[in-house]
Amino acid sequence: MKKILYSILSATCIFLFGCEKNLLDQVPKDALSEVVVWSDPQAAKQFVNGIYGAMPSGFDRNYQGWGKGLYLLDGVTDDGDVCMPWTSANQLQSANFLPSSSPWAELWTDYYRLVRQANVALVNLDKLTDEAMKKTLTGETYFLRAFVYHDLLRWYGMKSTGSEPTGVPLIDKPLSPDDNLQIPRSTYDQVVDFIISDLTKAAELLPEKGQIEAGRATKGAAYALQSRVLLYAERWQQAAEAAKKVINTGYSLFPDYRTIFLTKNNDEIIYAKKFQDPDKVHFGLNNGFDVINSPRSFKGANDAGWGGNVPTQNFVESYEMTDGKPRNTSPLFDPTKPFDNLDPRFYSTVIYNGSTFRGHVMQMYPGGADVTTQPEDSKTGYNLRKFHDERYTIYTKSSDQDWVYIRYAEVLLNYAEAQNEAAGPDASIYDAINAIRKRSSTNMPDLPAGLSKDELRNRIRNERRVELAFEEHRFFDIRRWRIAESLLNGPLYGLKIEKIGNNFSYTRYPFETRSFPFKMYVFPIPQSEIDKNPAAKQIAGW
Amino acid sequence: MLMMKLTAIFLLALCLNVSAKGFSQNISLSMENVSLEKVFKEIKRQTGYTFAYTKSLLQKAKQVTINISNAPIEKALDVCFHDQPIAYTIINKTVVIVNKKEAPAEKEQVSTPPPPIDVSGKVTNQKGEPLNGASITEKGTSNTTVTKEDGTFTITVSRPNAVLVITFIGYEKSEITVGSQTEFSIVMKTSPLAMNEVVVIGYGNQRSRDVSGSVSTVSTKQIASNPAPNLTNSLMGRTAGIIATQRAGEPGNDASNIFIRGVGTTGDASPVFVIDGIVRYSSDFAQLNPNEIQSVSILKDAASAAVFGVRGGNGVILITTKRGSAGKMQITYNANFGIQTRTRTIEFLNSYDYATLYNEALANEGKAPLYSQADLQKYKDQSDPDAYPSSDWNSIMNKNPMITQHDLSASGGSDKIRYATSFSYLNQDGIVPSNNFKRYNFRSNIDADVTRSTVLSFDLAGRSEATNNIVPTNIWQLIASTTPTKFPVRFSNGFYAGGPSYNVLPDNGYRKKKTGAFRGRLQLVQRIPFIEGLSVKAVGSFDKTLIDSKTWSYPVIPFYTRLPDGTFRKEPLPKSSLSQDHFDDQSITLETHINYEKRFGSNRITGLLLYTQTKQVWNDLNGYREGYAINIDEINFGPSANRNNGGYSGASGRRGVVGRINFSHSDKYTLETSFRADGSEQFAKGKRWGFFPSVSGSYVISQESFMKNITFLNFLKLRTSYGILGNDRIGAARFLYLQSYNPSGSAVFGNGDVQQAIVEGSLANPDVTWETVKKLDVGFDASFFSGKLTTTFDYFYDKRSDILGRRNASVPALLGVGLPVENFTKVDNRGIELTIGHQNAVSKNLRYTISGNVTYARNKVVFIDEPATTNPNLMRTGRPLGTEFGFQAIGLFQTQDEVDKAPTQIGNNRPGDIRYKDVNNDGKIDDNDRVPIGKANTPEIVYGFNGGLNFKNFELSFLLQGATNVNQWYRGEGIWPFFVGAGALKTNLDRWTPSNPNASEPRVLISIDNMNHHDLSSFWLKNSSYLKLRNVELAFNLPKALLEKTKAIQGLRFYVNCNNVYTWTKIKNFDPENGSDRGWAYPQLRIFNTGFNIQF
Repeated sequence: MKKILYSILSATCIFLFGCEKNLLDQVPKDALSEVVVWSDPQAAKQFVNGIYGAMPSGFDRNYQGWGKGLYLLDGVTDDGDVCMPWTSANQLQSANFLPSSSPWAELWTDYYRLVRQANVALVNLDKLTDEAMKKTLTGETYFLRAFVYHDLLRWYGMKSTGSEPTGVPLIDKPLSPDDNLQIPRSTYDQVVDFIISDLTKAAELLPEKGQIEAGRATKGAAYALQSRVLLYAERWQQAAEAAKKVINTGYSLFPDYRTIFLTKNNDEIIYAKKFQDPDKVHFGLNNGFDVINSPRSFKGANDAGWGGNVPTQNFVESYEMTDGKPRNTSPLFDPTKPFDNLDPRFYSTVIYNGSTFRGHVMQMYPGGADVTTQPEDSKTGYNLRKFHDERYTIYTKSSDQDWVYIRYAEVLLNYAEAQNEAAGPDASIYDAINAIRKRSSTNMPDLPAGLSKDELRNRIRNERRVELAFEEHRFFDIRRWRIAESLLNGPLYGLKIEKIGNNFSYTRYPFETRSFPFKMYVFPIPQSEIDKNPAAKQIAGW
Repeated sequence: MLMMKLTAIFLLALCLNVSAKGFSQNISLSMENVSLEKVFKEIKRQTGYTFAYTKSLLQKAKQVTINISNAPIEKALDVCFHDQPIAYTIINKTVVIVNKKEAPAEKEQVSTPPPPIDVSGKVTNQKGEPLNGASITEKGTSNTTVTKEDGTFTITVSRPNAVLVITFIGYEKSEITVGSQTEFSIVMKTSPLAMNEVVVIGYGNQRSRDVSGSVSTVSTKQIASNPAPNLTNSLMGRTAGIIATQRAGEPGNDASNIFIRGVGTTGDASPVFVIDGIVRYSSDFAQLNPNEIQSVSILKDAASAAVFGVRGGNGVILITTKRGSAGKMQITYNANFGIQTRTRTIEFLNSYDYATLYNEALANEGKAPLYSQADLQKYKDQSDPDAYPSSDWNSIMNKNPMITQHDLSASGGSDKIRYATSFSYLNQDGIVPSNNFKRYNFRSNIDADVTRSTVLSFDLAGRSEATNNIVPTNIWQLIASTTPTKFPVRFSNGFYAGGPSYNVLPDNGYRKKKTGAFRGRLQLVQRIPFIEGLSVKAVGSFDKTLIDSKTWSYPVIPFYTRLPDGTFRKEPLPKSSLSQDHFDDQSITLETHINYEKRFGSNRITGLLLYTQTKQVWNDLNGYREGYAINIDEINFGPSANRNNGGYSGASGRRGVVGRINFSHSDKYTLETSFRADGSEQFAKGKRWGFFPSVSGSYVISQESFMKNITFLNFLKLRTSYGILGNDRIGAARFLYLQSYNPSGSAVFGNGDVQQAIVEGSLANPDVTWETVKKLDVGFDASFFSGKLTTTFDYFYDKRSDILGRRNASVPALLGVGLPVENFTKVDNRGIELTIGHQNAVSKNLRYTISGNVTYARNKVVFIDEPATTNPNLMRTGRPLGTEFGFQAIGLFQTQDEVDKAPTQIGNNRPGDIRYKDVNNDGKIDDNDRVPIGKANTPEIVYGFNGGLNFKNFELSFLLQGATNVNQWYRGEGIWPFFVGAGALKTNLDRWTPSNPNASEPRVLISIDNMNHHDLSSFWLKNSSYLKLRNVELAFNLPKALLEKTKAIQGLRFYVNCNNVYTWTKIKNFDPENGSDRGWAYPQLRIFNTGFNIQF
């Protein structure tokens, strides 16, 4: 009866108004179907683009809606501080948080979303008929999945020997909500093996640098990442071998240390996340890094610079003098002129009192133009110059510098460290380190010959700290070296500057006390995820 | 057999295309050359009116031909008695036939008006007691008198066939035609709830006596007494069942959230808005000119809303617009002039207090002060305001922005064509400089009797809205977060420094939005001549909405940095840009109705069957360019670098079949059943059609003989209804049953090559369906003491299931993709509504009405997705939706000793910090100590108290409205000092210090290090209950005597009224209804308004 009524009524209406019979058969116009995506190579490529585009980097982790993640990880190491008082940097510096309110908690979800994207692609790319496209995209996806697991592992995993697995949950295929999602952690070594296996497949499938658009994965990037993952895993020999596959294969050190990060697609870059104003800018914000990392005294229409990440005195002291000696033994060091005769990389990395920044000579002493008496002023007496594009006045252009994930200098450092641990000092290690020190803009003396394994280890570590400063290596390095506890339980130092007449007095002073309990060597899985997946347990005392 | 009959009916519908409203007093007749007696019989059958006459009188009469549809009885009688030697008088549902006096010829009527006739009489109630103060009005004029103490009156009417309208509070309106008689004895019948008034219900009208569902109405007079330009702000407190909260006050964007009987779903809980039978946007209601409205009905239960099926689950707000009636053109002009202020102003600290407090916070953290004594002194004495500013950012806002409104309407008509037209203009300034809202509304509703049985209605309506604003969308955020020390409002030389004062400069650009809405409706009602009571109606509506947004940023005023040496550096101007967006939306609804109405003795049956379908299509196109070299706000003048564009489109469709049968017996029993079968394209093929039935009944128990002895009780009706409704509004998400891949984001490769990215959409659920709501309503309507006291009570219980949810709380994020929506959440919502009204006439000159209403609606989550491992204290199941969880603050630590002995708190605590309760007594405060600490942000209890007083020519009315059982978080800049580099509030001064141990706020701190203040706790979840004097109006009606001298003016009314007059609440700094926990919302406005209304 109902049906009859309906058909009569609708027939009436159709007769009267000539309406559509398939009124209820609407289809979305703003989305694609699965079939289309995996039959059209361009669509499949765009799907893989989605993984590249969403990969977290130092320039686009804008977390917790309050911009609480708007800082580089180096800001919570002994190298740096974060001037913006509201960021979650404070929590990381004081270790004062619970798994339920952990800073950077979004990373967990973000990385596993990327894992799925990669898994979906790997399952479906086989359907492509364009073989060349299939091969490259598959290689890229293996690389990207490995990259994601490498980040997951260094955030949430911990190398261990016990019976409790301390890796991260490994997922290698797209899951559905009906699958068993109670997934425990794998062991650290299982995850490392998985990453290395992905990278090996990627290296086989991927072309060399130059044969593919910049910004995409290459054979070199796959080996370079292998060297990093193996280094972290302390598989020294393998790490050194992986690094060797990159050394002398078309990558070279860019002559100017300062502009490595401002010169897009230069020969030193192995793998970077690329940005382009106005479509893709830092943090998805207008203005981006250059504004966030400008001192408060630089002003725009709505607001001034945000202060950003600043180097500490502890970090500044890690620079050698131009004679290759540390400041406490070098005759070149003059405490009244503490910025003279430093490793030239210092001037490219740090803004200090009297240096010129954006055409202005910095006055970082009380009463000077760059002390605004606002909370965002640097407490260390320094600001960060690295990455900064000084050409544009702040708030006039959105920052679009590329974030360099892996560059050639790192691979040389990976090699040096791994080779030293595996085999002890040899010439190839000196070659690698001295190459970095001989970069034309750096031009530092060679390492002294005849160092012991331990001495060399210390020099390599310091070289790594100085060369890769604020590139988000230090955060993980001091963890894997297990030295964070000794560096970060106590005061960190800044420089107090006073102007007396025409001279300045510089005093080292503790600006902040940090805290680093053992559990901070690893990040807690967000409590809500533990609640949903109790199979994965917290480790290290969280 | 039945099928064949139905087919025949539909074929008829096809041929003729019709309807008949024909309820209550309205009748439809189609008779040719019949005797008056026959006509009278038919009228009696349709209306229940009886006829008193002698046969001899009727013998004089001629036979008549009559053809009217849906007309008042007077009209039918006028036709019958036209050119007859006899006349009629209606007394209390009895038509008395009398001999006609010789009427003057028509020509004479035109040339010389007939002499006035003195009429006198006495008005009594059914017991024969005289009624003092009943008003007698000559219909269609302002000629009025009132009865004396003995119930007698005299009035001089202008013509012999004048109609007197007799009204008295608590009695049914009565009308008599003067005719030959000049002396009347009028018996008024008590009318407790105006039981014969017609109530607008879904797809029709009903006598309120026959309404068995829960429907409440809002008087248009009450709406008109509120100067708030947004109609959604005029409903709160006016009737039970409406829970409305106004979250912000931006002109043109200040609508309240409206929930009918609260919130019963985690999804979209807002009602649907139906204007003249067509489902329309809530903004179509919000931005309607109040003078266009004839009636507002709120359909609250299953029985009344079932005809809206899958969209009726949250209740329905029905609006009908005014239509014309035959008669002289009536013109009304209404003018309003008002000024506005904020209801609350957030009070910030000046620089001195800010800096002092900042130093204190540093000291609390063991750090050296940031501001020296010299700095503080400069902030205090403002001797160097350029270097040491103390900016009050509130001062950059307009103090008393204006609002004006003009309405002009005209209505009238002839026998064949009736019209109601109106035009209105609204101009409202905001408190943000250059912020303005303009609105034009027009409407023209025309009804034409095409044939004797056909009425064609043609409605055209539209509105044009234009808002203008400054470019930044976040000015309130900027004000909330900029310290007074950061920039001066202006340097002493007049330069701008940047910051809020620079951002509000209208010279540097604008943000405009224009909305053009056209609403057209065509309706044809055809009465079927040979089946009594049957009519067919065809409706077509065409809605078009165009929204154009344009944001032009072209900074021309520079800003400066003051250098330490006192010189100024001109900063480069920010980037110029133009972005434009065009959105258009079109919706076409087509309907066929079949209406049937018949009386069998004391039984009355009405039926409805209808088919409806709607198709909507929309389209968006936008463009952007930046780096304009010249000040011309056109896309084409922008440079080609970095230009950008985008767009999308879509279409949706739905279909429904509705049926309803209402049966009533001797005005005592009513039984109604209705259904709707709905097809929604939101769901997979085969899952699209839902069936939503309802049934309801009412019993007027006061009609029973055993109740007649209870003299104080005049009327008591018991009602109950039950039904199943749906809710298919699942946010903006569509096609949940299809797995989609969406363009989202981008990645950059090569030499700045920005490539599109595609991501997998949330997983599809092919079985997804609508929410189902089972609604029960039990209530009564009663009237006591001759209608002086009335009351309506309802108990309701909604059980809602199949609410869409995602298993985010139980499925680990390891899945890595948006979860499919599934129909699993269940929520119960129940409560009561009570309305009590009292009206009385103290004397001839003094009348008053008061009424109060209260609504209590509490929901409970019956099932929701949550992990099994969740701490039971944090379970949402069994608790109301929106329950807030956090730590329980139990005051502030007073001594270090207290801190040391207390369970381990979060951070390194000191005296002055918030102390949290160790709920599980494990000696430490952690996630397991989080418990429910408060209620949702939508109040559970709302109430209103309306009053009106008429004294001579003065009228006073007011509305008190309140809400309770409601909480609001305050966080960030909204309450914490120095949050994310922001300033501080005056209320922050009451912080804990050793000398202020009873402080309302903890000790001040800056960094999140060692701070436990920012955790979500009961400390910051505030009770946002309030009582507001929403509305007051004082009006003066010019005395009739004065008006009569003017001849032309029929009424003139002067009034002053005010909206949001005063608020009682514990919330500081903000209006308690405000929607932002951080002070980022546009403040609510208070309007002081004066105006006049003139009728010609």
